[in-house]
Amino acid sequence: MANLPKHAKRCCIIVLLCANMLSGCGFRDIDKRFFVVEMALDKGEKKPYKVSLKLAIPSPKMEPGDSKSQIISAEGDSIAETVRRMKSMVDKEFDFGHTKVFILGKPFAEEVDLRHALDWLARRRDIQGVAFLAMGQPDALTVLKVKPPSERLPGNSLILSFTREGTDSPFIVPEYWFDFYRRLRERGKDPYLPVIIPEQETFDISKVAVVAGGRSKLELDDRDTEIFNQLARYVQRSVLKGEYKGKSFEISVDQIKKKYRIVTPAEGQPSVEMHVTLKGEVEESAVSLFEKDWEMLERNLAENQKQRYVEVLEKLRDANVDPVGFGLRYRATRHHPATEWEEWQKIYPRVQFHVHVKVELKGTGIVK
Amino acid sequence: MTRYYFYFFLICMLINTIFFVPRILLSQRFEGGIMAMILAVLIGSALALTFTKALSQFPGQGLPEILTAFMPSAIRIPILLFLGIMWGVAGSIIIITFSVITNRFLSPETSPEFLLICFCGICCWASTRKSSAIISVTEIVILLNLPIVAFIMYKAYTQKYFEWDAVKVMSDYTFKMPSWTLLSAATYPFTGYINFSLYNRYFKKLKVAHQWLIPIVGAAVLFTSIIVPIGVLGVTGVGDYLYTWISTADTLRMQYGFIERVVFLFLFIYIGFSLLFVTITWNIGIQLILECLPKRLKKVKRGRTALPWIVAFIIAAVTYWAGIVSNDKGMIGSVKVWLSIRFDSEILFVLLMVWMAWKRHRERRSEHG
Repeated sequence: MANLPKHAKRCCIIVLLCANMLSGCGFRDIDKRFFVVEMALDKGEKKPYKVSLKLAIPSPKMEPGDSKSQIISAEGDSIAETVRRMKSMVDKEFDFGHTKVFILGKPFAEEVDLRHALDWLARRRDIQGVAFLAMGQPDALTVLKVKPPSERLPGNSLILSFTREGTDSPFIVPEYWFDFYRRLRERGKDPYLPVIIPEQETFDISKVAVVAGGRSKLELDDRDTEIFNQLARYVQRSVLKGEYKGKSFEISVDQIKKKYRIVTPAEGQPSVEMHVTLKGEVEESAVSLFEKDWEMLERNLAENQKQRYVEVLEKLRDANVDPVGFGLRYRATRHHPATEWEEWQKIYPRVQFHVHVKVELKGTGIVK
Repeated sequence: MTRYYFYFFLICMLINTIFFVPRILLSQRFEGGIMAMILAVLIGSALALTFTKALSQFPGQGLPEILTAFMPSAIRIPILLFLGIMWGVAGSIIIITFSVITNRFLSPETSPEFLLICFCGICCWASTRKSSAIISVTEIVILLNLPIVAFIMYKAYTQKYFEWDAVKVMSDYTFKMPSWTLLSAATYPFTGYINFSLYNRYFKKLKVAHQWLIPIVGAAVLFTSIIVPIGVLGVTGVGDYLYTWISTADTLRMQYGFIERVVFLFLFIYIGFSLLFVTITWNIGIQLILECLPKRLKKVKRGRTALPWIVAFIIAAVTYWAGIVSNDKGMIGSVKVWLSIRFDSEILFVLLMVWMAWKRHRERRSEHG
């Protein structure tokens, strides 16, 4: 320090003095903030909105079951107003920067127009684009109250289910907020919400609700949700059931490729030609399969799978919802911007689905 | 030499494809936005290549010296003053917008005035440094940040949620005549070459290899800046966002990164880019304005160090005032006006350079023959 030139020393002192100013600009320390980890939106009893927040309570220990949190809720005419009202119920500032899961109550999602109701989320700068949206059944607050005994951090078990870092279930259909908003605004691709059903100390996330026109329109059961996951999303894992001479076997799929195009002949039925290729290995079987004719097994599996695809696609079509994005594809491949959307709306209810499934068996596990 | 040329080209490209250009183009994406980009690649590259060729007639000379040789000071000074102000405004726009963005996304509790003062102070200091130092810093910042930008772009294109169908929908709206504002917005990213009208002083010979890269890199960056937001925010949804690229970066997640949200990485990189861009433009602006002052002022020994500071301070003060009185809506309106003026004057400026280069070329020939 002693042999530095004089002006360098002077500079150091000035910089240090300036650093003093940095603390005084209204910044709230971390111990004066409440981190909201989950937010639940319900229909209120008296007012249109009932907002519930799960506030994380930081703790020095990080052991399973030790996650501490506090839930508060209030009713109001809008989300913004309710949140402002809730500020007087706590002693710290809310921080929404870490809110990873937004849960909409089932009645809320079915009766309120989400295109306007969720404006608060879109408008706020600190709401993450990569937060998750879900639907709570029977309502969102019940989901918030579940406390899984294995949870290390408040709200972590839902986050792990949705990010697929923890469980990798083919029934969970995670939906990012940015994707939900994009689909909500887009013509020809409808948003969806995974349905969370709270149980004693855990959740069951195995259903999906499809939203159209800003309201939840159709709910699929777990069997269909698995298929939905393959059609509308990019899931690579699944399970196929096949039959060999009356004995059933299952294969686990680890690669799914799908592509489709929309055919609208001048005469005749419009149709969606979809090609799906699944690759997998036998997981469980009542008979030894290694010596059998694999092509026949593959055909049998493909036939079963094809029916499931068509079934789900027709269900979606009959409810006039389009989470796969056929409408958007139609708009992308036809070039008359003024009329194509109206055309598609007329075409979609009578479109036929021709699904061509190809199953490729890679092996039978480590036994024959 | 070649690499410095591309640094300035890139910094302008990267800055302007984030701040206003996508927002203006996307707000009119159904009314000629796409066509404006296609035309901009042609016009922007043509202007860049012509200008570079013309400037190679004046090795080691900056704009003030070149102008002195061809016109009386009555014409020269207004031109220099006008250009100096244009450069100053280019930086001011970025600094105001960036202070708003920083305030909104990084430190909402800090007052916007305080942030703006900090940024203005840093840029004031940085822009009064020697130009050669600024040129070197440009290299460092670009080399440090470009890999991260490339990583973010790679992540954006390869993410599963990228919707190519949405991009294809836009193809229906290609053949629409763009307005002049759109065209001037779309050509702005190509303007990086213009910094050489002054920085040419520091290079003995302006010889740029691989000039074919300009239209290719330009088109790639410009189209990326439009395609990625449409792909991840949707055809209709993309029009809703004010800070298009920040919202786009917020759709990316780094599962195993230190910070989960890519948007923060993105913002920190762009702090560097923005401050560097402002430093460059203000540095050139200050020097151009200083050239207009009468010689006797510059002879004063003490004044030599104080003058750039005074000019920088005036620019910063005006910027601060503009930042305080403007709001989001007024800002984008005035940026549109500024962009149109810039485009017109850029064309005239390049034509002027061509005329002077042609004259110089003829003089040389008559000397030899």
